[in-house]
Amino acid sequence: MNSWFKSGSPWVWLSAGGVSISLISVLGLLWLIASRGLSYFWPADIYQFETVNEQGQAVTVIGEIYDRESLPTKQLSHLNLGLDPNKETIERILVKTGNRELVSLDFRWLLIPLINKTSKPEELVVVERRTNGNFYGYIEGIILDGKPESIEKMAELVERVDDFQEEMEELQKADIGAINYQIERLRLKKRKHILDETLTLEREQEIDDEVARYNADYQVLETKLMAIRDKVSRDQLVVRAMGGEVIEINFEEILKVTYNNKLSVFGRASVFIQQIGSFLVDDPREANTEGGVFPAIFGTVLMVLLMTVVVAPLGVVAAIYLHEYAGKNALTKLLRIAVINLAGVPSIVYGVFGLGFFVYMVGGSLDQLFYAETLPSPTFGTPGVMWSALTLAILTLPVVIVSTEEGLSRIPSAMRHGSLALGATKAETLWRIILPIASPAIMTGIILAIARAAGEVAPLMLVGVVKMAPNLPLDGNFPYLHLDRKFMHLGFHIYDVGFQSPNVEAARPLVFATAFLLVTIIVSLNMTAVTIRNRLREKYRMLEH
Amino acid sequence: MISVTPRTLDPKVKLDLNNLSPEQVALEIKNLNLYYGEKQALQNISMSIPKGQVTAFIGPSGCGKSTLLRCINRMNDLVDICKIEGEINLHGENIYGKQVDVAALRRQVGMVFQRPNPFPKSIYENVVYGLRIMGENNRRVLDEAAEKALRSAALWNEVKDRLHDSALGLSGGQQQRLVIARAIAIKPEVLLLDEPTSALDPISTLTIEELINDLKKQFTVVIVTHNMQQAARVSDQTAFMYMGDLIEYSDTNTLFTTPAKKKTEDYITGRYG
Repeated sequence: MNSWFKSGSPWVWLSAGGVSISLISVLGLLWLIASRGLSYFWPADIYQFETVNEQGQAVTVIGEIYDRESLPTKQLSHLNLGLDPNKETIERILVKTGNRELVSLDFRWLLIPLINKTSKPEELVVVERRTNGNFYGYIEGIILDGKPESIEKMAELVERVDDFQEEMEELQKADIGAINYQIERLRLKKRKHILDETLTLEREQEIDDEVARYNADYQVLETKLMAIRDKVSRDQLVVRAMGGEVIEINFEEILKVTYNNKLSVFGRASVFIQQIGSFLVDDPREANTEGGVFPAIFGTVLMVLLMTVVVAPLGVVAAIYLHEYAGKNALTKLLRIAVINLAGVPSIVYGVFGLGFFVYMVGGSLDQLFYAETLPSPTFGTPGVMWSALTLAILTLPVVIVSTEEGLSRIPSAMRHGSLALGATKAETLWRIILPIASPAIMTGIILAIARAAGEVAPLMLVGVVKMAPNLPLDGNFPYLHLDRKFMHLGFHIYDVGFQSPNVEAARPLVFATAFLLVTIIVSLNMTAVTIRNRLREKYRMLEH
Repeated sequence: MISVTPRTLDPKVKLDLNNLSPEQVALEIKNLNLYYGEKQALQNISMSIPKGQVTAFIGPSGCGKSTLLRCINRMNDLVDICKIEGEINLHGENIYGKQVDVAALRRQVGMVFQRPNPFPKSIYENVVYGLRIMGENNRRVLDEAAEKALRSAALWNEVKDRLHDSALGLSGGQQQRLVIARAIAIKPEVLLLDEPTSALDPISTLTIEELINDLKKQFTVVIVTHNMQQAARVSDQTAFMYMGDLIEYSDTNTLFTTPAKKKTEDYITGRYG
């Protein structure tokens, strides 16, 4: 035993055990969020249950099985349901029944012993809708322009409506949006002239003419939009719900009609991929609990990129000064310690700082200087994507400084001497020799900064993130990149969907799916940076140190 | 930049090192004292280094020979605690004067270090580095200069087909010749070699020594070596240093055959060092 200790094997086992535990927890975490998140997109079977309600009446329940749990029989004994008292526990299932216009709750618990019959009729459909959530039931017929039509036409109709909806959205967002943007711009222009007391009759006339022109354009688009809206609203799908109620769903509401129980594995796989696709590219619906997360993906990536653009040069320059130019004295040491300690400041503190300094002080002053015409409504004096990027840049600055400095100090002095001995000045040596060799270390700093920033939510809630942003920070209106706009962020989206939504139960899988997406995005941002770093390493590899 | 004056001195003619005419002198060191903090590393060194010849500094480890060499192109400036008194004159001008541009000085006094230190760039970019620093970007001029420098450093034939490969792929001896090529590409007047072969194998050492013999046709060469045979083989003058003092300085033959000082004799016969 003693010799076994001396051989060092226990330490090998101990350290290997440490590695295994870390690895298992990371992989377990990924597996959990991936499986929970991705199963949300897999088309589930739709069941029809024949059971009895509290009053003892027979009822039919249609829906997807969502969850399953067992609970002690005692807990239900007061309900007089005629349960077998000898059994300790009974099982119950949570069924997602949808049909929000008929029942107030999306979900319903069913006790397994009370279910008389379970079936999976092939004719059951799930209708995915723009509002009111899913509808589960049977299709009774189609009404086209007021006349009944055969069910075969349904796919065609759904597609047609989809095209119209896309066209409408394009009209509303791009064309009408652009006109509104221009009219607003003209209004501000006029106001600026009034403020500067430079508004001549001529100018006023010019602006008014232009506004009138835009208004005329708007009228044309509006008519076009109305025409399309009429077209989509005249067709209906007639469906029968689990209670036997027959209702008509307007085709304009319908996103997709799927016979889940009829689908083969391949059919399901294709639906699965489609669902993931629309999750990635669609806008959220129903207070973020349904639909996609595209604006949040866009906001996250844009904010991280903006932050990188700010933090990289700033951090590198600061590290260069600390390492190359600052005197090697107590003050420099103190500075370095301060920088390292900055990394330990809680992120919400940065949020408060960002709000106080960037948003109110800098933003407020910018507004007074350059956007006086829009006041009292602020332009930059309110949280926005630029302030978020700057706040996170300060938050991640220490990481970049520390790893750049480390990279600088790893460069052998022979490199510097070689360059200096050839008549290069210190600045030339830095620029031509030291920085290229240190570039992999700089990239490491940037990678760490990205990883930290992309997952940070707390400070963003103070300086720019919102639950729902009507416009992306990037659009077709000059100057295209609107840094003053608020944005959506995946991290905040998770929080919002998971804890602030009216329908937490329904949104839970979405939380996992969004979390998985956030991890994927951060990993891919990191992988890109790692690839660049490895290229640089290969290029500036040194034989020996 | 000052162009290189063609070699006018006949190596056969023995120089009187204590009485060189101004044209014969490349460098004149006058009463040089150097301190690292409190410790004095060089004590009152005075010597004249003749033009177009190879001068070797020998002595046991820690005698100050490398320190003295580094004074000549002011590399000691990089050491914070280093303090220097006295003068080193190049063209009659003190290189420690207030007006001196250190970068310009280092272009006139090139240096090659103990271990090869090529930059992690291509062979070509290594050689033209100094020229690029001087603002030369004309492709033709750079190409010509690179070829000339590589030929002078006896490396051209080995690398002409892979000029744009990384310099780090070369062997140690090739790297050291590349570094020499890099130093002579900017046409310095004086070339300082700080134990240039100590990290190399015997064959590479031989190549470098042959190279030094060729180099003195164009440059004044000052070499520090811990290898007495090497000093005897390549140098015209030799200075023996001990504990920061210049003990003896004379032409190589004299120093190795009939040393004037006891300490020199003890050292070259291997009593210590």
